[in-house]
Amino acid sequence: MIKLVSGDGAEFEVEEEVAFQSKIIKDIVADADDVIPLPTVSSKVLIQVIEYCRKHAAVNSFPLSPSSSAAAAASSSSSISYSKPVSDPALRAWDNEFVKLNNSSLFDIVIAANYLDIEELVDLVLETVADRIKGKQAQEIRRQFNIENDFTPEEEEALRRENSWAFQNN
Amino acid sequence: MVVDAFDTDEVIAATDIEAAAEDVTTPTVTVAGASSPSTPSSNTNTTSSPSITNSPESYEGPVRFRSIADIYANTEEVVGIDEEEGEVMIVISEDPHVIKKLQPRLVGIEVEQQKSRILLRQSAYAKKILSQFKMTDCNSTKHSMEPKTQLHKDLEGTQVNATEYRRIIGCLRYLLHTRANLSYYVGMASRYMERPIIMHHKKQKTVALSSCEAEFMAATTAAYHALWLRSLASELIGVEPKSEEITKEFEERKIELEAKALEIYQASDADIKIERYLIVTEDSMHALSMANHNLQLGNNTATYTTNNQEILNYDQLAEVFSYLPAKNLFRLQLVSKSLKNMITSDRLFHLMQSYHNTDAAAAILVDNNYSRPQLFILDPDAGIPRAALDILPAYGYSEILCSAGGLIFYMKKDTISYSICAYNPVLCDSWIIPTPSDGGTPYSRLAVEFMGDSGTGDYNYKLVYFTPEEDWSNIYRCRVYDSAAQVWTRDEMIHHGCRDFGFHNPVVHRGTVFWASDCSRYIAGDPYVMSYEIATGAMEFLAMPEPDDGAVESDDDIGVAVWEKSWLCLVHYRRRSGTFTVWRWSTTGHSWAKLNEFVYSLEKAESVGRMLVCDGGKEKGMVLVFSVKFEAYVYSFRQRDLKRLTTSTGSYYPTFMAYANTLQPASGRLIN
Repeated sequence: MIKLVSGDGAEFEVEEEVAFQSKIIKDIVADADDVIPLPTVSSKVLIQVIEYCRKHAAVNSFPLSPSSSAAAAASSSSSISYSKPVSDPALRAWDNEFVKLNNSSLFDIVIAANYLDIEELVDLVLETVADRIKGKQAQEIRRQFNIENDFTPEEEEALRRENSWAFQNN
Repeated sequence: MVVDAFDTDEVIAATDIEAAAEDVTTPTVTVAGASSPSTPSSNTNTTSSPSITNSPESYEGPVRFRSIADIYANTEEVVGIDEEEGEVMIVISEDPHVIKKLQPRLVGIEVEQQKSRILLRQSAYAKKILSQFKMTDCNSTKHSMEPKTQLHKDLEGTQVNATEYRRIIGCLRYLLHTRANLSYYVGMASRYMERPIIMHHKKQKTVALSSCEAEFMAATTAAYHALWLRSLASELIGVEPKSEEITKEFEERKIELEAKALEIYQASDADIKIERYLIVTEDSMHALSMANHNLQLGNNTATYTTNNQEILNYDQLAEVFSYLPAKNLFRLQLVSKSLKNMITSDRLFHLMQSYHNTDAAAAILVDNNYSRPQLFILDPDAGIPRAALDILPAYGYSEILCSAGGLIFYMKKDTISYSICAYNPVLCDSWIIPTPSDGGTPYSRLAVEFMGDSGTGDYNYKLVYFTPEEDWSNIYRCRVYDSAAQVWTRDEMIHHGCRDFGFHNPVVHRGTVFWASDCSRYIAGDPYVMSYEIATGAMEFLAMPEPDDGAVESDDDIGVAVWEKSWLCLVHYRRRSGTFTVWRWSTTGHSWAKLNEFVYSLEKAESVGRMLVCDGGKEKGMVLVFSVKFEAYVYSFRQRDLKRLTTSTGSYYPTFMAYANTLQPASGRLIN
């Protein structure tokens, strides 16, 4: 068991394979077996991250159905292929439920996941954020991510004219 | 003016000069000041030389005197401060026979030879300083500076003459040769050299965690220093520096540096990882804070923060954006300049976007015989410029071979030669792929495999190109093109079996090209699916599903697809029942299993055009695109929803190709 301590001092005991979903923790625990402080992660976020890791550790440690594991083997043979790894449809459905959170919670998770180096979780959250901003206007994007508009109205107008096709409906 | 300066705390050191002679109580001060700039041959870095504070009596053996320059050149021989006089003394323990007279005075330093020591004194010089700056009548003090003095900008104070102030500091610094105990106070006062009331030194703000980081920091500092030196130089030659010029240059410099920083940051990813690894092996607990630091470093490059703790750094924002289709991104150029740059010119971003946008955003209807290609949008946020497809060479001069990864591959016919071109309709750019001179034959077929390496960010492709050896032959010539090396790597003959080659909408799945043969009633033998492994050239023929499950009959239609990026599928349209069936291939069982079915209710048996089954995005899931007579439809297997795309396809048997809306550039020579 590995003990994780959140920024607000709460302790969480998790199994090794759960904690090892984080590459950072995996590297650390190679030679230490005690408490791991995570000063920048709040308890609320850590609970969510542990929930994700627990689910994924469970699925990854058990072999999938024969056909999909064969497919996984096939995909690993051509390791340079960009095609996404075969994932369990049930796990994908679980992931979809997991990310049904408001944006600020998602941002908190992505920061924690980045910190802990849990690549899959980072990708999952960022893709979810992308789904939510799809089709939105520039102004909404600026507000959402608090990005300053550094174009002059003239420059903006010129850009709009140049790319007029992108602003028309299909 | 000068008096003003002396009235402040900063110059307490100066008032101490006279008193120092009596009050020196700390003889252990390192006599570093003995190395003077006035002696060109001196060791410049004497602070590191050991400080010997023994009394001269402890030195046994003979003593001799040498020239002062000689002494300065061997500063180890400077041994301490005379406790009574508060002056530097020099003891040399060498052969006594060679004794040279020392100059009694050396630029402000009085030198006095005694029996076993030399005394260096600057009391006259100190008095001279006082008189020069009209301080002869000032009170003396025992304490050079108040303990823990903090100097702050005096907001109401008047500006003193900077040159005058620097002169005072200069004099005091020279005095330090014999009064090393005053170093600290003079040092404090010299921090305000440039403008006496403005703190001039800077603390190091960041600690570099990688050599790249350090490089960037050094570059920034150098730029600052260059500017400072420049203004100093212009002051010395009496020409006022043109402030706009300097600011302008600085701005340019800054932009340059920022660009470099980004570049360095991108390149430094590997460094940071290695570094983190090293730390992990060294000190496990430290690693977490280090990783956190690295994270912040990344954030520093360009951070987008919000008031409600919503923070995504540049890389994360880039990843979010990379999931959006090209048309959506063209619209989002308006967000900010840095994002516009990313969208229009960041090659790495383009590759990531292409990698994340593999779903069919649209179906291209191709009918090489009759009309120009048409585009049917499946994702409302995707699209291409209005006339983008019209740019393709006119009918008779081009043939569309394949659409993959956002590129449309077509055969361009010049008067004498043929060449394969890749066209990105979003960018409206075409690239010529070096084509074998005998490569441009009618009925040639092309399949494309995209391969990426997320480590290096490469996103290359291989073309598998089939050309018939002669009309009606069952032998095709197969060549493979590698876009990374830009060479054709294989050239071999393949026998494609008894039936017609087919090859409509081939798919590439895990390094193997799959396609279906024809189903025509005029050719004997059962239809089949063929596979060609790109790496090895190995071929395989896959038989149709068992007749019990629904035999493939003549004049049915078959095709292949990859289901949800995971499984090879056979799509079978049974004309008799108007049913589309999707079969999943099991590699282990070497057989087909029914996966999905769609009954397109037809009163009378109709034949359909060439079907396309592909991933239609998150909402629609897998979709089927097909045509009946002049009408085209799209059916979503997930939503169980059939939509008509058009009532005028222009031809009875058009081909549909899946199009992904990407910013993918091709390699090769850019045309038009």
